[in-house]
Amino acid sequence: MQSEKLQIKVFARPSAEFQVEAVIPVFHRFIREHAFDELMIDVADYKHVKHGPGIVLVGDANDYYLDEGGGRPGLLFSRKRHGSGPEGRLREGFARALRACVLLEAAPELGGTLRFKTDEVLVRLPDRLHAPNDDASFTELSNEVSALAERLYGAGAFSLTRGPAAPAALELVLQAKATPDLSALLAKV
Amino acid sequence: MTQSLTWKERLNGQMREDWSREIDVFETQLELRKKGKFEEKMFAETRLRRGIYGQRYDNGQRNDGEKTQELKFPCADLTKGPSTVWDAPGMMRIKIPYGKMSAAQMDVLCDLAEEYSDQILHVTTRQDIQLHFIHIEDTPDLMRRLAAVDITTREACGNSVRNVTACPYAGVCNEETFDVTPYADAITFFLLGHDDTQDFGRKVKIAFSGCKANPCGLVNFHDLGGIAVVREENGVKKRGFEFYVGGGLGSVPYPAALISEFLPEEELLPMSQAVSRVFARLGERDNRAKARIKFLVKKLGVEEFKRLVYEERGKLRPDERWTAFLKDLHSTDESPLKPPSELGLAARPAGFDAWFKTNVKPQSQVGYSTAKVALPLGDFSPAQGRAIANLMRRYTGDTLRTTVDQNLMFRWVPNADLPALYSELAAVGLAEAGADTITDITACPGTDTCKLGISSSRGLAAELRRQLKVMENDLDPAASALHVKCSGCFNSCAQHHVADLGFLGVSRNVNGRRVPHFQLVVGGELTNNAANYGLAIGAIPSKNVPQAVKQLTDFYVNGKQPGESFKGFVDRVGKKPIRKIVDGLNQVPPYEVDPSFYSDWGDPREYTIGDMGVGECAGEVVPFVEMGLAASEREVFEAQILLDEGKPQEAASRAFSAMLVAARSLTRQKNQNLGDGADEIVKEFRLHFYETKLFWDPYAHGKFAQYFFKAYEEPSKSPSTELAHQLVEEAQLFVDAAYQCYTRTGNLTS
Repeated sequence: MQSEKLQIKVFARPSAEFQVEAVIPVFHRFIREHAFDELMIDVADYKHVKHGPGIVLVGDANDYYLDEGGGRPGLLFSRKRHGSGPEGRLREGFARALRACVLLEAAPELGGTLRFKTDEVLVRLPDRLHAPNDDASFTELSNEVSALAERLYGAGAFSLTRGPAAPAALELVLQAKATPDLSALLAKV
Repeated sequence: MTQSLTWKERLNGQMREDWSREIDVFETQLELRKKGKFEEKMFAETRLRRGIYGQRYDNGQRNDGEKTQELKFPCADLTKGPSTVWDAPGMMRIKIPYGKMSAAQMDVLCDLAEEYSDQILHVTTRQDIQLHFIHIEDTPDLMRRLAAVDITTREACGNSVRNVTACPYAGVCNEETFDVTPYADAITFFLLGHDDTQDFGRKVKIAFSGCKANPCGLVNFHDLGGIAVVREENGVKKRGFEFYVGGGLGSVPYPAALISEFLPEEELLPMSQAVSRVFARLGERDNRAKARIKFLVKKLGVEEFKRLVYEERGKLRPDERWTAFLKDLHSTDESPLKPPSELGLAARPAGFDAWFKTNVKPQSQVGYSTAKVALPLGDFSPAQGRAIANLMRRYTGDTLRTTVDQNLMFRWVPNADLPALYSELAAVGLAEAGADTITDITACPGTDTCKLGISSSRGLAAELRRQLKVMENDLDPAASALHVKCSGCFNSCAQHHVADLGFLGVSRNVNGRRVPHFQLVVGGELTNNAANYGLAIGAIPSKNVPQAVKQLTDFYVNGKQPGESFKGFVDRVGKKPIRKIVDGLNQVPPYEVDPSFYSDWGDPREYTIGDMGVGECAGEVVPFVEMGLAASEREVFEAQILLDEGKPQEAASRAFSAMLVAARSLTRQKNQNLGDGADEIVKEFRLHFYETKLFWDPYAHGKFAQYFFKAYEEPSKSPSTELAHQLVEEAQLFVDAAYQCYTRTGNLTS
């Protein structure tokens, strides 16, 4: 699989107290404090777009969204470039996404209002050249995700569901039976 | 998923050949720049002319609210322009001529936003689409995917003819004189890449309007503009334009000057070409702040400018394209998907009536309506864009227009389908009422992404919109009808001069700290093609602007006379009472009391203007001849690559082409009407540069020119590798000699 691009979304637990704009100062602090081991550049605010990208922490290689796509908030990790090769791509993506979730859950500015689900993860390849949304690509992506999911959740403890058809990008949703702790999940990656 | 195709291979044969070649050329230039073989300033103007613009922080520095931090991009010292770091994300401006877009184009734009950008498409005040946070190395593929659906980004930025705008109602308006669409289309593609538009000192913006009264085309503040008029001559109705030049907003707004009350339709393209030549020849080049056409018109006077344009018109080499488009003025017509129908009395979805009142207008074609999608801050997501594309296919017959108020507009919606369209738009969050009302606020990118931004225009617009939406249903109709426009600086990208309530970002020092402010601009007029420009009344702290809007609208509603516009009201009551309102709101509490005043809307960092950079609106002044010589050098490089790839015939051909480009670049300084043909170029080059010995090298004399003549006179159909190699070397020497000649002789324009 040639694609450099990868998106992983970890859904937030529904919360009446959480407002998406609350992460704006948090993302700014992440930049100021170099919270990630990579270059982060700026914060973009798109909360005015319904079910849109929400608030974006823009980086050089990767972006992190408090995404509202599909009407379901979540942390969306998006790899753009400079990633590791196909072999380690998914692991690296999961690790970075989960690390960002851990940081957000611990952010004092949010007062514990943002919590993530660990039993549902969306994986998307926004790359219509190398990962067209067809059966062959889905099979290949499924195999790749299954291998990692077995390690994270155990064999037979999860299911994969294909996302919407083209022209949407290739995507699948991983649903696990267990809901491990974020840090525990991150440790397994 | 294991395919290893590139977009270039995938889309081979699906793009216009010339566009495909241009993109290949740009990709080569990009590689040359990476290798340090393409000069920085030249590359900057090259990328700008391909629509690739810089963004805030691309100098590698950003203030984090406490201190300025270096952004350590992996590219180290590599730049894509002066003080512009290679890896820093930038903006891609995509021209949508007169705002017309098909469903297939919308789909591709959405794909690109999803794959290369930050999942947002932004509609500009000039009907473009912009994508932000793009890496420069993604741009060739992005351009190819656009070219495959007939979109070019060429000349979207830089010192060139920018996107040609036109009234989005053109062709379906009840009040237009005639449909200006085919004219806007013709001028777009006539001037695109035209020799006479490559040597400007600044950009040129063109607009068309179908009528004089409505606020859709906004001709008055454009460098070049046409308002449709019909004149009867000998009992025959003839189409033409009121032809304007030299309008512009920016820091110093100028109204356009009328240089022809009736320019016949067949004269539109040649006269535009003539204006381009006069501007290229006489426009300011050193002082970028005085380089737009408006300053040249002012300097020369309208009559002298007009005389020069008509004189130039007489010198132009005839071009069949001037009138070819007139043979089929219906080529840009749109066909509805469904037959016309009436709205009917059936039950309507909740919210429909309010939306219908503000967003829907009947077309001149009975049974059809236009429907505006009011986009907050001009933004929409790829998911929303795809939903729109589907609605276009299902309801309208594949057409949509972007608008200068940063919205989208469906046309040809059968009236009976309006409720269903509304419901489907509502399902994706795009059915907000309030188009063209006080909640439909225009905003430029401001400090979000623009290097010139002083205050957060988008942050302010979002906040005003949020507050006004709450009270939308309770607003007096007169207040509801006001237009608000917010620019992040004095450059007026949001067109604040023509708003009822315009705001432009400024900063003020208060208690030893910087505080974001906005100047209030009143007295502007959007109607009558933006006939009047407002003036700044006074600066208000950003955080007090919403309160100012409330007080000003209350003041207007309570004091206006029946039917009085806001401009009329301001003219009548004078600016003193308005200034009084501003004065009542210009106090900034000490930082210790309320630190919120010291940061901008939507940005919690302590406010600073330290992140401002050098704007690229002005581009880099690179003369036509220098662009041409750089192109010839690049062609020699490509010839070398072809030789390395074992393609001697192609290498020889490219080497000759390099010489031809270099010769033409020089010779066009002597003959502006010079065509593209090799015969003519060789003949004219010989006349002006060889026989005059201008091209002669002090030591080698005419030797390098003779390489060129020989390559022209003795072309080899199947050259050996050795011969091709020799030709490539000779081409390199000829191009070097052309550079030397240019250096020796300087600007040869006669």
